[in-house]
Amino acid sequence: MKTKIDKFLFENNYCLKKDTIIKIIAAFGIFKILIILPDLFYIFGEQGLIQNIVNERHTFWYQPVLTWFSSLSKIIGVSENATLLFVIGVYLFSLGCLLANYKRTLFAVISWFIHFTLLNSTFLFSYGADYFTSFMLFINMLLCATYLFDIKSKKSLNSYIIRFLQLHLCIVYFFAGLGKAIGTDWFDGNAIWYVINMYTTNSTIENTIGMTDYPVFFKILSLGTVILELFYFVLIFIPKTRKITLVLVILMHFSIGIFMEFYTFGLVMSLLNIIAFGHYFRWSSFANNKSENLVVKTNQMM
Amino acid sequence: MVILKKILVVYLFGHILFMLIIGFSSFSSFIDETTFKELNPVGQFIVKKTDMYTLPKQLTDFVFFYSIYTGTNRGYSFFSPNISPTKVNILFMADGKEINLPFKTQESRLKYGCTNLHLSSKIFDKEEREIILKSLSSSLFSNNPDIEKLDIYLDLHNYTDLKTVKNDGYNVQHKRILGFSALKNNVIALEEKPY
Repeated sequence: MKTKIDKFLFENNYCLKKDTIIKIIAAFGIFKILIILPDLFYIFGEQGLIQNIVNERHTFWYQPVLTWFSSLSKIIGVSENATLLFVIGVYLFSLGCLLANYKRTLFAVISWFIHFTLLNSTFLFSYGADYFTSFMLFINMLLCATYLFDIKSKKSLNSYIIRFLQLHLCIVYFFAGLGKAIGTDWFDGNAIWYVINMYTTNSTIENTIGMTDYPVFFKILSLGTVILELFYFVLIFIPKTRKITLVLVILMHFSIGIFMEFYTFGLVMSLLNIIAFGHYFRWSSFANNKSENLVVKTNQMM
Repeated sequence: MVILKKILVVYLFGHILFMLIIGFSSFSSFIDETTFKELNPVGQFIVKKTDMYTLPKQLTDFVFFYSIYTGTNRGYSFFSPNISPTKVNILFMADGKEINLPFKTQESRLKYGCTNLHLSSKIFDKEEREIILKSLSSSLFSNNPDIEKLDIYLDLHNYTDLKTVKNDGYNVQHKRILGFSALKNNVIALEEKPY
């Protein structure tokens, strides 16, 4: 048992190159901040729609927030907005350093901490994509910490971190599926119908109204979602189903991104899946194919 | 490395345990009468069971602390267990004209949508509602200095289910309710409108 766990977690099953993963995460971090840049001061700054007093009702004393820094900088006459710009600047610089492979261990910690601070500072503006980005930067921090170890340990640690991410995703999807499976809307197809009405564009709604003559279409989509999420933890490890499971999950997130306009959420979930299981597709430029066989072996052992 | 491996295995099991606690505890919010009635029998059984177990406060505090730092504290019951057929938007109007929020990108609008969702769910919580509406109004007054009074409307859209659409055709019920008014005096005064 002990050896099996040891092999499963620490065998060199790491296929997507670590450098590629770190670059993907850093590029995503930059993208995520750039797409809110024009509205930065309305989300975080002095003119923010949600003032600090509201946010403080939802955070604990141990959660770093921007006001920790802005109250200090005000002492030396620096405004809240200038402090915000400085923090965002350091965040982008850190992500740039991760991309450029410069002192990755240090800048992984800085980028995680700043994102965490920004997340805590905007409780009411934050949603799933922000929390998953925070988790992704946490994983990035663990990956970059392996630079502190010797080559042999590095391989085992990389393997462990990817397994950690894989198991975490299994729990995420299991609860997402179970939550849906205990209701009724996801069984009769109404869930997909309501989602289309509330979260998609008018043209998508108009194109879908005709489909209401065939409720089975909505039933298949909603039941399919429940089954995929609930049994992801099994399907993603079985050699015969793992590729199609990965494709379907990415397709589901792609649809969420495009049709519901949850672009960042769709992207971050797709990236997490690619980082965790992307090596199933043996992309020669990104993956280390030599170790793919080990993955098959360890998965078959399960 | 042997010791490190042991620590990492223990950490992984701890993480999984914490995520299970977070996952199941998020179901306890389904125990309220309205949500509970809409669960299927299996769901009612699971929610009842999860509500029965109370963990020591020190443990739940630690789990929550850990989950906040790893970005895993919000649970994963997205769009669960059912989806409300009613969509609520908060509209700000001055002199009969809608005041547009200043957001320029889709992501920012989506982020504001989260505030909207939170506010809709807390609309009967007077303290929370007032503090959010005052904050939003204050910002809108700053951005629109000519405005002296803001009317805050609840814009409700009610969607019919698939069966009704098939039998009676597509129909969305729309209702706009004047909920509150905010006045720009030195301190913003929120006046609740009866509805």
